[in-house]
Amino acid sequence: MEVVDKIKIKRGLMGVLLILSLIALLAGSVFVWSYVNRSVENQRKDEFLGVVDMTEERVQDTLSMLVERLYDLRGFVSTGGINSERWASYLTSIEVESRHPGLYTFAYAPVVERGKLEGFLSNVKNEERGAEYRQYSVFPETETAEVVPIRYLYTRDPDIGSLLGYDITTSEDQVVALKKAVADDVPVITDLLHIGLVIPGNTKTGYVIMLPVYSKIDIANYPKEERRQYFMGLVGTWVFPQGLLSHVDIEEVLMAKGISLTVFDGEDEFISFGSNGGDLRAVREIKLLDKTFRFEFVGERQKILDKFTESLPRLTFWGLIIINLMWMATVTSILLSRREAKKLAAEATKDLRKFKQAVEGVSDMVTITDKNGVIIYVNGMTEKITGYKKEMLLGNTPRLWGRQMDEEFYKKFWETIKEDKKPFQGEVTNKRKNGELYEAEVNISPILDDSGKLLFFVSIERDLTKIKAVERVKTEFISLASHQLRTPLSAVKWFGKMLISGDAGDLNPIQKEYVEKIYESNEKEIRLVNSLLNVSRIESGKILIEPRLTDLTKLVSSVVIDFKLEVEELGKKLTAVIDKKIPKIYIDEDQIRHVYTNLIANAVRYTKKRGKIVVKVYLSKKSVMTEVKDNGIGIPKGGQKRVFEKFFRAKNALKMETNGTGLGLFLSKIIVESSGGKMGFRSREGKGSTFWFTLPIKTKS
Amino acid sequence: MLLDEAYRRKYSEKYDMRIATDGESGLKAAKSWEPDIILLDVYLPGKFDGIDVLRELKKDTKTAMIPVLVITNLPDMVERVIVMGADKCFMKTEVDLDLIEETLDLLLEKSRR
Repeated sequence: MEVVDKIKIKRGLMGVLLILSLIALLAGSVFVWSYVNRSVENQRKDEFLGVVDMTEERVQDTLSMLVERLYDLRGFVSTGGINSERWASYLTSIEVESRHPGLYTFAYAPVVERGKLEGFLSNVKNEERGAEYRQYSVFPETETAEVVPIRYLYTRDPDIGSLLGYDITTSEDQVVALKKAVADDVPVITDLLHIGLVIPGNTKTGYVIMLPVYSKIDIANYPKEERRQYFMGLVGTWVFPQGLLSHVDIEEVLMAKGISLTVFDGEDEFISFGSNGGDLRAVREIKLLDKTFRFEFVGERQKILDKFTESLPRLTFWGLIIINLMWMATVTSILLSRREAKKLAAEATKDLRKFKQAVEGVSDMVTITDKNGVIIYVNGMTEKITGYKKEMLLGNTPRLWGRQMDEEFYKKFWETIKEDKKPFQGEVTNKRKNGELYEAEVNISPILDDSGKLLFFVSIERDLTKIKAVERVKTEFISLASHQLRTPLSAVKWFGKMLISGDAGDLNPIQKEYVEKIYESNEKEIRLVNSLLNVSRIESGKILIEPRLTDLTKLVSSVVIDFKLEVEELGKKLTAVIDKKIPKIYIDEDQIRHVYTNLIANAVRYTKKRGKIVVKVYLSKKSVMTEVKDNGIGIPKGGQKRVFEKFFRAKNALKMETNGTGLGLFLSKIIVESSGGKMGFRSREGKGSTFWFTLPIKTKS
Repeated sequence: MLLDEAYRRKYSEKYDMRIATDGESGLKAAKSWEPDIILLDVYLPGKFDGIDVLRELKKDTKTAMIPVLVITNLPDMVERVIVMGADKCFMKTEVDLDLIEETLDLLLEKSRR
């Protein structure tokens, strides 16, 4: 029972652990999922900001490249002696166009005093042969003291090309920039310019970056205050808004990532591409020269990362759900099987209790030892029979109350149960705690596991003390009864015989007749007592068949001869047919003689005058068959079943004769069976009976 | 005891006979008187029963050779006394005084030879 309780506790703990594991797994799953989610989110943000950073970098790069070109151009212009051909070839040589086809426009606009404007114009006309200069004029016309007309222009854009001769001082925005540029000798960017203001109907917009040109090549070596006096004009570049973004590169990247970009110059949105909405936003203030632009990026989160990374949180989520579900199913099945096991255990416990109670209460002593003979269980009877307390028995060995037999016995005993692994049965003498010896019947079975390994020995011991005592009393009683009953019978017999034979003087005929009747009755009584005592001896197991080598032919002949005279006096006929081949066999001569005597006496008794009795003895298979056949009164059908019962006498037999005891056939059958043979009969009422029995042919003891 | 009278009546004329009524006196008589034959009953009053008497008789060289005829009412004894050295044993209910006399004569004749 204790073992089962322990199992219960263990199982309870296991259930709690399983449920805890489920909770832990769930918590872990939530953590993993949120971690993956967050890191994907971070990656997305990084990617997005990376694009933003790259954009900013590109814009700055473009600008510094342009500024650099302007400085180069200033150097070129300030050397003097240029014309439109050299201008064009210079700009072609620095490969602006091949790198950024159609995007950039470079111009040189000299400062011309109003008074010298005529000369300037005629110079242009004299120097330039190009078609673009055929109509060269300074426009729009103004009254200002100085004009700054575009003298050289490098562009592929025909709209921009039409600006050749444009006086930049007519644009307020450009004048502001010009002043600032000349004052600080720095590149300056104008506000957004609309060509439409100059060329009506044109919608193009753009910025101009300008840099002052001085008549000294090494102007950088002069202090800023002095530079003003050498000022001779401006170099500038027209930048389309797209040009700032170094044209297609950035656009492609942005498109690929699904990010839309809008650039603001103050409140004016001057460029935008991509129209995707999205919840990722980034705003950058980018300062180009002294002007600040606002770049607004809007990203669609699903498009930024590659498909696999994007689906990672989802995959993780479902993966974790599956793992959780599987573990949940596992736990459920474990818990269910646990419940099943519990039920089985409870049933087993019930069974165990039942058996334990049964074993505890039986009247035999039950002892279980391990394979070394150490006692691990005893029932109540063990304490009672041996006299030792349970506490003393457990852990000890059965030698505590055994050890009374010789060594040979124990050697054989251990061989049987430990080496042959077979049950041992036998009678032993043991010793109680109080020193009293007792006889017991033991039955020890080895208990093996499936592989045949010894586990335990279960010993069942029955105290034979009481049984033996009863047996002894019975035997003593029979002895006593035997003597006490026979003593008076023999006295009657002896003295009766003396009277009859005249030892106490002659009797007159009537006296003699009476004494003879007394004698006869006494003889019958002696037979009855002998039979009765035989029966009780048999029933108490006291009949001893003591076989000796016996000549059966002789035995049967002598019995037949004993009967001969009596039979003939009765006018009946008794014959014996005995096979001469019958060998000497081992039988109890006295007992078997009793059987023959009994059967023949019956046959004689129950035949009428001129009855015929035949005794046949012959070999049949492996036994000697004897038949005693008569033509007497037979046995009525109703009584046939009970012929061999104790004290049975058939009705017709009772009518005919009262001398039988009803024990003869009963005893005969027992004697035959104890000798290893069988007995039976055939009979028809009024026709006769045949009693037969067999004896085994035993020629060796 | 009951049979003493029968023995006396039947045999006293024929044999020189002493009758002992218990084992001890019977044994004593056998040793001092040394009879030609002893008729012994198994069931005797007193400490010594017939079996003890027979054992003592056979132990003593003086009495060991005397033939003994045992009579008893205990069928188990028949075999036993023969083994112990008795010459013949009868169940009391199976014999009468005539048969005993016959047997006594037979045994006497045998021992004389």
